[in-house]
Amino acid sequence: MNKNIKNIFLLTIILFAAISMNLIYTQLIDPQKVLGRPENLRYILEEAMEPRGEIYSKDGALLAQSKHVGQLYLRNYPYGEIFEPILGFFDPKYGKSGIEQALDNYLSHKKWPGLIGTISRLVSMNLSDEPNTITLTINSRLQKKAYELLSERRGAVVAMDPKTGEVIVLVSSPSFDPNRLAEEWEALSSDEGAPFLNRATMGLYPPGSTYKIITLAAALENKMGTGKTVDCTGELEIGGNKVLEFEGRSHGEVDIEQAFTRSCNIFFALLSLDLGNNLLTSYSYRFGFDRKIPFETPVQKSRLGLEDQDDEVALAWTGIGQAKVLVTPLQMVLVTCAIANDGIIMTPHIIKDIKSNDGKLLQQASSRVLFKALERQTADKISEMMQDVVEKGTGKAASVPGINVAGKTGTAEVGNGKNPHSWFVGFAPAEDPTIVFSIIIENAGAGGVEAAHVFKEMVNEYLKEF
Amino acid sequence: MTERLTEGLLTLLSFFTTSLLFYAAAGATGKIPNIEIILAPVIIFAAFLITGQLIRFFIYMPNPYVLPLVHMLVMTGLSMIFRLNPNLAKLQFNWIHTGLLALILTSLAVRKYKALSNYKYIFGALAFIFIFSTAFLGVEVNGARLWLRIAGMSFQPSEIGKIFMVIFLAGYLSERSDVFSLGTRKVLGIRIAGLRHTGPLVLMWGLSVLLLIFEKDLGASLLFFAIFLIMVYVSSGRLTYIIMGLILFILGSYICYLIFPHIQNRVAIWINPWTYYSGTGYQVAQGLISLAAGGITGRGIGLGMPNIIPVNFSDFIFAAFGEEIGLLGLMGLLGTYLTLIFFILRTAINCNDRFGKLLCTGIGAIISMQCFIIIGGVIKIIPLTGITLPFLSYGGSSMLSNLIAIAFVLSISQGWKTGVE
Repeated sequence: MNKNIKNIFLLTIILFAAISMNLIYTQLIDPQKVLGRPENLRYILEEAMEPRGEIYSKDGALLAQSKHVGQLYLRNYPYGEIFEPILGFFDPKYGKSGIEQALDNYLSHKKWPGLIGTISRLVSMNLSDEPNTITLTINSRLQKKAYELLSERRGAVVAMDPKTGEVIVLVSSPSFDPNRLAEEWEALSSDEGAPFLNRATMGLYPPGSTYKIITLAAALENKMGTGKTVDCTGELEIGGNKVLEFEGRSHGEVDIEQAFTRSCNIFFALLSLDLGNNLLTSYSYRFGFDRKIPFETPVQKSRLGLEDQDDEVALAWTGIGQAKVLVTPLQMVLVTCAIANDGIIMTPHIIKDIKSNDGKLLQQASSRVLFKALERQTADKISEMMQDVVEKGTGKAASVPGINVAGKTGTAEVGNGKNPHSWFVGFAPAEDPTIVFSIIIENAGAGGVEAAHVFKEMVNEYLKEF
Repeated sequence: MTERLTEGLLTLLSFFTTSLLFYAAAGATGKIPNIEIILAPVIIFAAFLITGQLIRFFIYMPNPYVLPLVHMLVMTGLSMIFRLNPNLAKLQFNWIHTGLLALILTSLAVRKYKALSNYKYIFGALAFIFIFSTAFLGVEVNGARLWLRIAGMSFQPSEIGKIFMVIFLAGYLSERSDVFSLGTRKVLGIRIAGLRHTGPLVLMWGLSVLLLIFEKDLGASLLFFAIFLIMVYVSSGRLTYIIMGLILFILGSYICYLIFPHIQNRVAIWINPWTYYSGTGYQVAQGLISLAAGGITGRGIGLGMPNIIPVNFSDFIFAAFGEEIGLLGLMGLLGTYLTLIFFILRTAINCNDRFGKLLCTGIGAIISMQCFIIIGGVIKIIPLTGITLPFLSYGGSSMLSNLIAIAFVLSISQGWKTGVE
């Protein structure tokens, strides 16, 4: 009989072993088989059971809040598509992006369960479960204006305070209304305009003539190009390849200042040949090319693309912002900030501060130097030349009555018979810059006129604030 | 070390570990813990300690390992119920103490458990009444008639009925086993007892099938028949009975499957819960997701989402554990059950009389089979049948009858060291 009882224990062991095998399969070997099923509500519920923190602009406009819908909290964005490239979206089904993703730790409802929760509640420590409130450095009025000025054209507008690194405007177009994400998801995913792409930080464009700021800076600091004159005939042959002026123009005899204000490609192509590969590369690097730019949301690295040391054609084209050089609009705002801020680039940031539920300041952005790109004198010299661009050069469309502004136009050739992109980078007031812009409008034509127009309107809007 | 000390220290060890779990569960509820919550584990610890010591002082010297293991399971279950539904935890807390009181009273009443076998037919009749009462008077909950409503309280009589059945079978088989195990005929080289002796087997099978038909309760039917087969096997040593019984059960189940749509439904869910997701398969599907979400280490108490599963505090508490304590935790839980079953069956082996042996084995079999039937159902090894996980699931009837069963084990284990294996 005892043997039989032992056999019953053996039976129990066998049955428990069967259970264990099954558990090992379900929980250890292949949990994804079950978790990946659409019936798994966990991912949705985990995110939408509690309200998230609110997001405000620097001027106090409410940009994102959680609203109770049925049993869930859904995100509401009063500014819709205008702020989508910055805020991103938060959706139980489609996930998170932008600030919603980058600062999820602060925005989400933190849990303090388990022993820590019990003990801390017991000794009545204030262990707040409430999410934090985030304030951005963005000005909602300027942001809205910039979005309207692009008027559904593809492109981006970035504005930054050169002294602090605060990003004031960050617009990318086309955008979409995150409040209607679910209805529009299918259409958005297949939209060839790539509305999910934040062009301001992730879009890579050839900088065109705006790159000449860097070529110029490298030349000035190395005492090259001053006294150099070139007779611009509208075309130049380098190694069997031609560098051309836009629309068959020719500038005649030009020195470095005239070449910059009138944006002479041939002068700058020859200048970059004088500078050589190494100098151009090291100066681009000083401005942040091929470097990681710290920012709250992901930023694409801008790249010079000068790989072949002996490729003179590529070098000449690179010096005027074509060839393989690619930049983000954010990168170009940093380049311009160096000119506006005595050669120093401040770390760009978009979060002003983070406050707890009861208004206690948890984190505050500080102004930190990112790169020292240039000597002060060089920056001042280029600043003067950029004022000339607006005053009497290619950037007249950007001039604002009653205030001195500085800037540089750009035409980024894209080939395939398409219209070139229109660039403008600039700052105001020229004497003591408080705002720097980088504007690109895709396929808006040569000469940077369209972008310069947006700059002008933006500065006008900005001045209303004083 | 004296046994008294051993039992006390083991319960203390269990108290330390399970109170951590309990307080973690308290954190998950998000409430500021009040004095009731803080003291709950201490009170249960004290109750177990007092129960053990009372039995030792006034009644007999039982096996010192059983009560600490039961404490561990009861506290683990209570912690999870608390995390899932604090109101039910309060009721469960009361049931634990009621159960311990019943345990002490039972111990007092059955000091000489051997006397129970004199009343085996009374217990047999009681078992029959308790198990079948719901078929005529019961209310249907979750598609099965298992509940009696008395004075506003739901009561699941089959829980206590199964204990009575084990007493009856132990008494019956301890006397008749000689006849029972004597094969009288040879059919195709297999010795089979005559019709007169196979009669009880057929009768029991018939009752199980009746249970299936009238109460639509697959779980209880399977449990009772399995316990019956195990006890007959232990008593007779004949595997033939088990095989015959299994064939009969499969036959009976198949016929029922053909006749009753709710059993077809259960089997269909078992084969593929996902196709019935929007209806009856929802619970099984969510249970499986819960387990998978737990992974190896689990999400941590209060960090998972077992609240998605319906009736998570009862039949599906195992899935809730799976999500929050993970594979490692579940292995620990299974290990605790296995250790408890080991000590119960060891008590049966050490016991000197047939009645005690059979009674103890029957109780061990109840725990072993209940674990397998409900866990197997939750993890989809077998079709799901509604049955509680002993000591862990929420439920008064279940807690009460399981603790009473433990009283019998303790009683049989007196002088447990003297028995020689």
